[in-house]
Amino acid sequence: MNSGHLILDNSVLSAFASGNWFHDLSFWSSQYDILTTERIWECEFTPHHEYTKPDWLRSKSVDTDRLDSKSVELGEPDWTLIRLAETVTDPILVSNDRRVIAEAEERDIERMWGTKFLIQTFETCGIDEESFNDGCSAYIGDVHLPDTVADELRSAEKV
Amino acid sequence: MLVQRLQQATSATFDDPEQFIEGIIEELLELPPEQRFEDGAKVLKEHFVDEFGSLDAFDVQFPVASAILFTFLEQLLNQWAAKIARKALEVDPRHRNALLLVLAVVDVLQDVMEVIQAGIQSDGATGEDSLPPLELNEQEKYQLGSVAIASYARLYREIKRDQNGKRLSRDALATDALYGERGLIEVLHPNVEYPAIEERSSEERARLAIRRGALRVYQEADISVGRGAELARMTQEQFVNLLEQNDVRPNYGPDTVEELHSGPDLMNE
Repeated sequence: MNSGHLILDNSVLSAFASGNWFHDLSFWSSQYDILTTERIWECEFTPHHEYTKPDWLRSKSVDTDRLDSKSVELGEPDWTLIRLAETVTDPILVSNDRRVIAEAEERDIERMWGTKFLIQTFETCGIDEESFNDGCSAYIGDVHLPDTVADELRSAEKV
Repeated sequence: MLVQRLQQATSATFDDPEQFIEGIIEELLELPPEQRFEDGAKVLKEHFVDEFGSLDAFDVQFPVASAILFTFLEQLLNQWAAKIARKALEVDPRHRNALLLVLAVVDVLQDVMEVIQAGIQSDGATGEDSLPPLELNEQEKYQLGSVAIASYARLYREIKRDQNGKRLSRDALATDALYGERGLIEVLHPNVEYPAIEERSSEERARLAIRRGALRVYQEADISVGRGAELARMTQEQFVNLLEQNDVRPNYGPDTVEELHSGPDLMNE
């Protein structure tokens, strides 16, 4: 039985793709159900990346009208993620977007920065060292990390 | 409204400020956009000369007028931008695009004013957020002045329309936002060729101007990339590219190492 659900935002899927680690996300599939929404997969990720949907990733259709309230600061794709997080057990919403993370916090949804998720994926051997080093610069540029956080990412070590 | 503020500030009197401004706006907006954005300064100058006899006479009567006008206009535009950005987030999509077009024109006008100010302040006394001083020749100042005046005329007219319960002229707003943008680019990047506005369809002009408006909303309000993309009618990745092209950092995190390590640790057995 899996430990919970990892819900991945487009910013995370895209940043992993830019680092060339997209398929390394499958590392977590033995512990977690890895999810995104159909809206994110079909309308945000697929138009820019040539990946067919892998077996380890499920994209779910979500009805955002079921949300009790929607503030104007998030877009419809963001709300699909929030709604998905509200409908599964033990969700962890993973995003790089500060406003999405803030909304998850307001709704008491467990959340995680995409860069922490990347570091944990690397440190627990989901990404090999050479591939990690090769993709780091592209990732840092994609996520616009400040220097201190970028240094922390570069200094990550396998445990 | 600017003249009224100027009047309050200087205790001076125009014969009929409203009529004076209306006269300028009317004449400006009768011109085709390419001419308005090239020669708007000339129209303004002619009206001032008619009213005061000469520009020197205006300067004597209102010795601090330019500085006051600039400050008031800056404050006014900042207030407008914040208000319109908020409203654009709250209204239904049918009305949203018109507001984004207004915001695009406000944004162009503010950029032009910033460049004019950088050109005026050759002593280097610019504010914290201002551009560094710029060397502008008389022709460039004239051109930027024309862009500012033409943009202001459009805003003035559209706000009046709105106050009178009329629909905003979306095509005119979009067209003027692009002409303003082009005028600015011609001065700042003379080697860059701005695509011909006349050859674009009205839908295309609206799409481009709406993007500028959406970009401004993203800068004004605490919204997600997803929301910004939705306003700009782009994918998130396209919107992030638009932000990058305009030197706007996406509001991604974390910003500190401490923040990075917040949140749960994943289980790996």
